[in-house]
Amino acid sequence: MLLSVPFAGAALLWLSSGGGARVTAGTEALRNQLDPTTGAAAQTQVDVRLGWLPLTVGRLVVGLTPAPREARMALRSVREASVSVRQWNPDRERVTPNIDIAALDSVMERQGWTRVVRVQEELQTVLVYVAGNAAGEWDLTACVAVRDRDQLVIAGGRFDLEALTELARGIKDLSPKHHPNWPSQIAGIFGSSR
Amino acid sequence: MKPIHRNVAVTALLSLSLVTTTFADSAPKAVAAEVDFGKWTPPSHGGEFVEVNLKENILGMAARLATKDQPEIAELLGGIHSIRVNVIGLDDGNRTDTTDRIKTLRGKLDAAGWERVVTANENHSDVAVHLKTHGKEAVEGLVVSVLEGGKQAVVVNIVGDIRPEKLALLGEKFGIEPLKQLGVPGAKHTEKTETKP
Repeated sequence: MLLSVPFAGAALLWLSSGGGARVTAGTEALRNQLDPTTGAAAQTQVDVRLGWLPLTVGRLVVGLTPAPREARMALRSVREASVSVRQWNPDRERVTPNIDIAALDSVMERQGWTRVVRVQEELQTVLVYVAGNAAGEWDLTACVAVRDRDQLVIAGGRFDLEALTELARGIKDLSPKHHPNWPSQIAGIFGSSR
Repeated sequence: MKPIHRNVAVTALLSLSLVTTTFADSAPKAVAAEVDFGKWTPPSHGGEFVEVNLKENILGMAARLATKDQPEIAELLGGIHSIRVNVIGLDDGNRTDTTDRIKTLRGKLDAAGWERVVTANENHSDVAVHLKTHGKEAVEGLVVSVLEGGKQAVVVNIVGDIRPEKLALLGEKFGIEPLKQLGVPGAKHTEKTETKP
């Protein structure tokens, strides 16, 4: 009984920090292949991971508050997510500019990812990978990487597309007349005069 | 074996063979219309290079998403097995190779029985549209290849059950200009060649 407590705590900690092994592995692989700083430390500006536990708690909390419907729908549409931003000084750091796409594809394919989009222009590269074997027909697991001259942004997540679609449809009705309780600052964003 | 068990076994075997036959019928057609472009060489001096490769799972999701608001698009996407798009910026490092490969590709498609329904040479754009048909009413796949003034090459391969009258809609929704000119029902044999001096 006493031994199971630290194991349970470790499991909860792991689940709350990231939890999604596939998403984490995918974003890690992208970071390892795309981070061009060899040996020199890049400055990590953002590193956020949301597993099912904090999102579930968030959904529970929001459900108990008079939050807008769109907030509830947004939380419902995300199963897990992670975002990281790394920046470096291209004039100072040793940067390897070329990306070995074939090697990256090989690493990602071994983890069950398929590249669906590759865009390269000037010094910017955008890559989008999706995972096969979705849990449900509305389940989408994706990783996106954007590498620029001095910045690398990697985002990954698992989403409920049906909920996202409902959210997108709902955003069309985001005028203040539908939400009289919104603060006036938010109403001002949508051009309403109060 | 009891008669009821034998009947169940026979029914199961017949169902399995029907399913297997169905998959066997659909898979080779889709594969035959899928064209291997190989690996394109990106431009060496920072020009544009785009690869899009959408398979049935993603297209199926898109079809389900579009069902409520755009049922026509959902129906179109539901019949498509894969979409591949390559946009290759051309520079001195890859222009000759890419141009030769596209011309070779067109020759191979012609030799393999694909119908060239559009050939256009206009305003420094060299456009060809090939269709792989099955019978008179079904299009299994299409390839659009464009060489734009030595600056850019575009190759598109769409595989699936495409009705000829939906080709223009396909062109409109995916921004494929040559397909927008098609789409008059039964007009899949349209061919035009315009060459400006």
